[in-house]
Amino acid sequence: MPEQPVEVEPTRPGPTPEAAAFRLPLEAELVARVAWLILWRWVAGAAVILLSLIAAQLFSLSIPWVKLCLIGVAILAYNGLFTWRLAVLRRTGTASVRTFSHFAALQIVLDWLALTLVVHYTGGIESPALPYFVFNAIVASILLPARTAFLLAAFGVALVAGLAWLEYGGSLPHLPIPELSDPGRQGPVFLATGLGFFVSAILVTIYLTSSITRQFVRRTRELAELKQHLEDAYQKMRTLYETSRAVSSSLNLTQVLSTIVRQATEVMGVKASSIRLLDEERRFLEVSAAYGLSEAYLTKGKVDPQRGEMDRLALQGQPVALLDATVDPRFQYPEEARKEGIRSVLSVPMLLLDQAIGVLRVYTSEIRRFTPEETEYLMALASQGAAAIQNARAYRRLQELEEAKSRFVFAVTHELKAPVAALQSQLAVLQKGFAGALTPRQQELIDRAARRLHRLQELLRDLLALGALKDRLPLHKKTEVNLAEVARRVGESVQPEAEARGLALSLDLPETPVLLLGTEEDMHRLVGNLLENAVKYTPAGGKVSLTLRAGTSAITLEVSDTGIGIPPEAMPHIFEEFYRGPNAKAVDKEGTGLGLSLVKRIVELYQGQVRVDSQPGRGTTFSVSLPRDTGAGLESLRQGPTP
Amino acid sequence: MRNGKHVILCIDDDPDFLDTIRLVLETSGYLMEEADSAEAGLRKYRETRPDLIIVDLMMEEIDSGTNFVKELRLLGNTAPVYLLSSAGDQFFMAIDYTQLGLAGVFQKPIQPDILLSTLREKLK
Repeated sequence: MPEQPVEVEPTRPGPTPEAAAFRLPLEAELVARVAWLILWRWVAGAAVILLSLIAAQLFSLSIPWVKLCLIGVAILAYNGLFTWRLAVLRRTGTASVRTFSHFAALQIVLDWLALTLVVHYTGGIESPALPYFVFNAIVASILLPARTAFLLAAFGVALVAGLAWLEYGGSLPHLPIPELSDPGRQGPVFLATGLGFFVSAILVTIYLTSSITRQFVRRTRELAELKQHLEDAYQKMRTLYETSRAVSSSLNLTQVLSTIVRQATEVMGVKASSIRLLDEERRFLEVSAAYGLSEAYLTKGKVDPQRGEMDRLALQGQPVALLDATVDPRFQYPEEARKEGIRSVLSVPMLLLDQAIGVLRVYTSEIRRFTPEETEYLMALASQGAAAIQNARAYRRLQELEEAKSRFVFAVTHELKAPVAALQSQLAVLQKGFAGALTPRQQELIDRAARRLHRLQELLRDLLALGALKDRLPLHKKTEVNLAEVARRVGESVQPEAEARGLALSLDLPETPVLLLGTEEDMHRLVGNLLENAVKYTPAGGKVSLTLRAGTSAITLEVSDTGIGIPPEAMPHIFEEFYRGPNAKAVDKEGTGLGLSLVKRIVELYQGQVRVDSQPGRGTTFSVSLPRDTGAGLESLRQGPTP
Repeated sequence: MRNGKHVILCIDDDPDFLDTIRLVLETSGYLMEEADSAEAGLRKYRETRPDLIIVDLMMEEIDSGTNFVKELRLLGNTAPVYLLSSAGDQFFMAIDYTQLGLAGVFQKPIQPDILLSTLREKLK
């Protein structure tokens, strides 16, 4: 339990609880029971009238029934006034518990006055109605403060004792009911005994009930406080959970840190919060996020942990609380704090692998002692902040690495391409005899060298393409590409190879243009790689077909063959860079293993999907589905994720 | 034309490549002038007034080839200009060939047959 309950401060943001809205359960009970008392009084008033009539008329008791009926009418009459008063109190809705207490006490006073009259007219101290005093005594001691209950009890006792005294002294006539009268129950001894028992019964009732009730009140008060603490704790847990979710789902550091300072301010009910991180040299603390602080205060100057002991201690890993920053020598800027209206400050470390990288501070506008729970909560928030910073830093490093890798791939392939192209050109010139006739042996060797160089050139081309697709390099302007036209051209370029291998190549393309926002290079590479693969891995006599369909929301491209197929164990790897299936290697030793990686990369870039169905020895079908309008998506992919 | 032969200016920063082209061109009855940068190429152009120009797209700088072509136009050049390009260059820049007023593009590695038939056609 905290040393002091969290007080509701005027500076606390959010709605302040209404003074009348919060009541302990027993206080709420009082409000409800006032209405209940009024309800039962109707019954009591009616009962006085009815019973008087029955007693007098049916049982022929000699009682002053007219007077008793008048008392009943009086009870009903003042109860009418109470009903009206209650309606007024309820309508205004601002009545305090105190008002209701007074209201209840007034009712009990009037009830006892009425009851005293009834007692007087039904035999005084001998009256059968005398024990009814206990009812209101119980009600008073449960619902009202003990002091009020005892005062009321004293009043009740005085009424009865006074009545007895007056009747005994002859100032008032003693009016016993003859039919119920017992000669033994008269005289001073009986009077004193009866009165004594009555007084003690009332006082003991009040004492017992009020002391039990006091325990209940204390318990319910504790429960109510516990509930309040639970709600506070729940609120803190919830914000911690929300922060941790924000930390794990967002790489936007500024946003996460802003959330943390805002939550620290709101949940702890303080004036302001700030996060200050050490700079690169770990020399000064710089503001990374703040909530509730003025621009002037934030730009007041560098925070030097060497000069402000508060932050130096916090950076050593322990929370530091200043009761009054405007006079505390451990605070570096007391004058500025005074101008800003800052009094108490709590500063906790933000720890990353046991090393402080900064501090999280909260500021109050009045003197405040922070509880251990509050300090713990702030420490938890600070560690969330540290985790967010770590995430963001790791992500930034990863991005830099990825970019460096792409630049490296580009530089290497580019540097490799030039000599290969030169070599190829030289070999081509030799092959064509520009440098003189070649012997058949020379010709053969040069042909073989040229073939190997050709494969190398293809590999470099694919690597470069992959690097360029991965990197965010300036690209061709996006235009409307006619995929049907691209597919037709690719088909034509593959046709001679298909014929040479004894394959039937069929193209099923729509007559109308199939337009897509993108670049022709991407589409050419996508269709080309799929179709060339199909031709390459289909044995003589087989069939290769290319189908293009334009739906309303997506374009479907299907390349089917009756080729060697993909073994199940190779399936998970076919889109990996440089991977080649075992049967693919057997058919063609020199493939680059990059073709399908390029296909996948392009499909991803256009936010499409690629599916493969294959049966080894029977054939393979690649189905690519591209959404029709990928303009916006393409743009965002090209630019990459925002850090 | 010089001594009844067409003069072809080749600009590339790869000396081996220039030597190879020279072998093809000179054994096929052309005269070749060469330069290893866009700047040297412009100087050579003024000196030799070639009948046809072949320039590499990517030299010391990514767009030096296209800048060279633009400079040539400013000099009032009327000789056909061919660009040398390697596969993959298009990933680094968007080239509008028609806007540059190019006669055509040769892919590296150079194929002697295609080179010679194109030249013969253009320089009839």
